[in-house]
Amino acid sequence: MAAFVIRRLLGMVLVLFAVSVLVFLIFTVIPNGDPAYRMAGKNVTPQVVEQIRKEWGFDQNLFVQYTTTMKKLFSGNLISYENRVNVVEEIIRGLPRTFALAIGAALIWFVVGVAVGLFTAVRAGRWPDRVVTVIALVGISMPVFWLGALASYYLGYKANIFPNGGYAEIADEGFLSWLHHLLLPWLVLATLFIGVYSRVVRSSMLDTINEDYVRTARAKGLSERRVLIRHVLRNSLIPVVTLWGLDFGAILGGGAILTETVFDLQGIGQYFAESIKRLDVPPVMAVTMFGAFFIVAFNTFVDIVYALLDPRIRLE
Amino acid sequence: MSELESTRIGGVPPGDRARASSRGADPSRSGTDVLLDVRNVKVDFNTENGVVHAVDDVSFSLAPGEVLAVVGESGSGKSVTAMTLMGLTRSPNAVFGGSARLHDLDLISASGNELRRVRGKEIAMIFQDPMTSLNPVHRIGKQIVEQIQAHEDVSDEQAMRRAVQVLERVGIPRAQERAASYPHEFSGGMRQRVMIAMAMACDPAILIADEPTTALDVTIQAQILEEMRALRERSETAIILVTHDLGVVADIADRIAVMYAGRIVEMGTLDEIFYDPQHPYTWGLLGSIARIDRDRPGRLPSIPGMPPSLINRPQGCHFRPRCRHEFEACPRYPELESRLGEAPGHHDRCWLSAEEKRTRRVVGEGERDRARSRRCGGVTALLEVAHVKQHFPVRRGVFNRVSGHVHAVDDVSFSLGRGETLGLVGESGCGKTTLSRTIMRLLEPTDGTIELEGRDISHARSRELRPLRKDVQMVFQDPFASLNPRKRIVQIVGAPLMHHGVPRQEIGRRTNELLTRVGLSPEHANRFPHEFSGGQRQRIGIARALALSPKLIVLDEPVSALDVSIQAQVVNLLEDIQEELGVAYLFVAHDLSVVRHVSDRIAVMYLGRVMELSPSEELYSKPIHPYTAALLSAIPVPDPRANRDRRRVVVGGEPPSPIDPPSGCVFRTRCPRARELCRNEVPRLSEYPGGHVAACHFPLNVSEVEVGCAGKSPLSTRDSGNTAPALVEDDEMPLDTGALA
Ligand SMILES: Nc1ncnc2c1ncn2[C@@H]1O[C@H](COP(=O)(O)OP(=O)(O)OP(=O)(O)O)[C@@H](O)[C@H]1O
Ligand code: SF4
Ligand code: SF4
Ligand SMILES: [Mg+2]
Repeated sequence: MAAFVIRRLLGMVLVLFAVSVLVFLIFTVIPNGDPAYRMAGKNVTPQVVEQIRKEWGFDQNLFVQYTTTMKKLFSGNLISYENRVNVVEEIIRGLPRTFALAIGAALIWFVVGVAVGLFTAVRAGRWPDRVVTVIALVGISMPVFWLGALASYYLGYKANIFPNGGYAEIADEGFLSWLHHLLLPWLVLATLFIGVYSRVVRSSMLDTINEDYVRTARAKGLSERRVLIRHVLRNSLIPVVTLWGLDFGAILGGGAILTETVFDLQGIGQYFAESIKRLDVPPVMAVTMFGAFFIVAFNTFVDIVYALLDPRIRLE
Repeated sequence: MSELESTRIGGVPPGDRARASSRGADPSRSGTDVLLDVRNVKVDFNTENGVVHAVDDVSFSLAPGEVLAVVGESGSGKSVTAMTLMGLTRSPNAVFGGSARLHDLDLISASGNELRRVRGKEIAMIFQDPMTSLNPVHRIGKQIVEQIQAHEDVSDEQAMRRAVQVLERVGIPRAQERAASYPHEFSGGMRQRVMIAMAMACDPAILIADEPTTALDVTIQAQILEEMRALRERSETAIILVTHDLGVVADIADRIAVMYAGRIVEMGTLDEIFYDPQHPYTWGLLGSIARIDRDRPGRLPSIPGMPPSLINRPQGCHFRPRCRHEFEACPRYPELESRLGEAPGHHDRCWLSAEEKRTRRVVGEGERDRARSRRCGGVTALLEVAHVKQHFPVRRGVFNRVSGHVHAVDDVSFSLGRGETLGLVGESGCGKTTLSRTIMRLLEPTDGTIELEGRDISHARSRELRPLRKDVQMVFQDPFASLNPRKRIVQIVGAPLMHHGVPRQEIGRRTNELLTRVGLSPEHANRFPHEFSGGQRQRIGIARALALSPKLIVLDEPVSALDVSIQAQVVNLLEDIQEELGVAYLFVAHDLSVVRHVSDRIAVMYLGRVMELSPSEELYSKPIHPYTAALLSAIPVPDPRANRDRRRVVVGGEPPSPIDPPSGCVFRTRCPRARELCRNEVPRLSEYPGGHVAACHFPLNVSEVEVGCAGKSPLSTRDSGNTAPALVEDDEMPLDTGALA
């Protein structure tokens, strides 16, 4: 176990390094990428540009630029080129928003997805299963931005049941307002996943139901309910939980860009999208590293959980 | 969840009703002491292709403490019968008829709740595959506790104490500790013990065991059968034993029901069925078994053809299409009834009169005279294997350092002549398959040399191996997994020809020839594998192996997935092909009976090493190595009387880990004769008269003279010592050569 974690941590360092180099290189080769021009504003004179270059170190070679950027990032002094704010502080500001969105939505989609999956697996092939299957497929194929825009327009703007986007700090506006602002984003983000998860749970359970040990469980005289929960569901959840960990990690790392943007949550995903739009390298680098960190961390975490859930798996 | 949906046939069909009432309470016995009374049970499954009549008109009764064996070929409805008694076949597409009374409850019509109270409490069940029958994510002890608490209101600690007790009773060492283990930490044999422990936890009146030992090695099988016998003796538990192995039946059963195509075709006591079988199907079944206790017949008698489809069964007697004795009466429905005056409990479903049966009965005597001459010695060597090792690294730690090696094959030497068959036997994990894959050069040996016709191929590159691929072919164990389901037969059989550049028209012609050669019709060429039965698929596999006229075919458990009657057909085919084409076989198997039948010589492996290598008759009549003797002794012979007379040695324990094999003789941890010397020195392979070599310091079945002139065999492992074998007076390991001779 310890050896496993150490190996994974070493791997994580490598991944983060590779990701940062890649992002850095991409931004130096894309056309119109010279930040000095954009920072100079509308009325550029070559001198101004040259001065900005010097000041920000854009005249140095790529290697030096990269190392200074990384140094600044890790000491928390990285400044955005575009609006000159501290990138790390921006990320820390967006963190609670993104986390609130991710945790709430992940819980909802996990619980509802498993419940729907269980329900359809038990009724496999009969009409309730078919109806739910169709609904789930509709859910899966609904684009998030479309669903989000629709929900926020009709339920927020038109009907005024929910606030029209935005995020409310608990400290400032209280818990209820916070909840009120997040409910719609949670549901919209969860919809897609509920569709997927219910299908995964259903098929995993239908596979498990035919396992020999389920027959053994029945032969013991256990109640059907106990057979379903302790033997079928418990075993079918193993792949689902690992999937959940990976998706959750991605969203914590800022992966819910569309949802954050549609509901104007000002989380890390939205920050990322805006920075890309402005070709602003420092925040893009920082958020990418942040996201990569969560994805790799949750990968490791998922492997550990997997080994805990399935005693046959050894962490090697 | 499907339990509530089962449908019931409204009574018995009109024609059957008269019969049902005219028959006694018990078709085969007028006992008063009846525990379970099964009458006219019928199970139909509605499927897309039609109604599968899986079980039809099955009646029997069971007394306390009785062992009833249900035998028959695959698909004959044995498992469905057994599982129906537990309500485990209930599903929306299943239709049931008849009754099965246990005390006051009819198991067929009982509600889900009533059944649940019976399951595990009154009737317990153990299944064929111990590897998959326990839930991998729950601890062993917990799973038994669950069984107890499903029926009794006891505390967790009490239940756990009882769980540990039953685990102890079935011979799990350090049960207290082991109760906290997960199933995957146990071997197959141990898991089957756990299943038995779980089954007996609530002291059921009936134990249903569906092929409980089929997945196990013979020495472990003997231990498990011993356990079941003990259970029966201790608590008068009645056992319904579903099996296809007549050896096991002869070993443990009191009465036998023979099933064919969903019906019981014969039912009687053990001796009645074995020594006075009435139904031609039973004759065939008894005849097709390869046996270790008889001289090898030239060919195994087999039942021609295949079992019928259960959707469209032949009218009247279902066995008609395969029966040699069919006559006018057979298209009528034969009752299961006594046709013999003197044995009222012995019933069968064949229209022949008792007189005719006695005169026509031939149990496997068919072609016994055609015994083939053995090819031992005097043949030129085709394959020479010298000191071959195959070690697999075991990795651990942060940097995946190699922390040890699995000694899968550890210094094995032998040679194989042209047209000869060498049998390779041993328990699972002894390295048989690894050795055969190394010889095929699918693996590169860690050490040692492999020579094919004098060419060293031990480290040949893949290009150099191409001609070898032509000369050496392989047939695999699982006929279902080894054929590509998306390819037509002509493509499968023709593939090797295509690879070696045979022109297209030629391929078609050759394929037809090959199919004919293996007993299939050329019309089959355009079909897909799933349209064939297991036996037929194995024939296709053989045809594919023959395509390039190889000199050696490695057969890895080629018949162990097949029914006995089909096994016999395939074994006969293999022998015919060898006779005709002079191809050599390396026949890998764990089934010593079949190996004996096909092999000229046999090598017995244990923990990656050769323990004994000998001409096959020699090996069976005069095993020299204690491990060979133990293996032979563990096999129950399909002959109840001989079984009773045999003194059997049940070797305890299980093979140790091949990562850290014992010092000296690897068998010493289980050997009843082991002494100090066995720990300190690896025994050399010694040569005895008759071309017999064995690696044991204290050999069995040899005379003083033979021991005196036993020399060291060049096949000995490099690490073996030079101490000559010695006789020991006190034979702690009696061997029943009696039953084997
Ligand atoms: N749920 C089901 N639906 C349709 N057919 C079924 C079902 N269960 C079993 N059958 C069919 O019933 C027949 C009897 O099967 P069963 O498993 O009892 O055979 P068996 O004698 O136990 O064979 P084996 O030796 O292979 O275990 C087979 O043809 C099988 O395909
Ligand atoms: S009834 Fe006829 S076909 Fe059936 S086994 Fe007897 S003789 Fe053969
Ligand atoms: S060498 Fe010793 S331990 Fe090995 S088989 Fe012979 S007697 Fe048994
Ligand atoms: Mg079966």
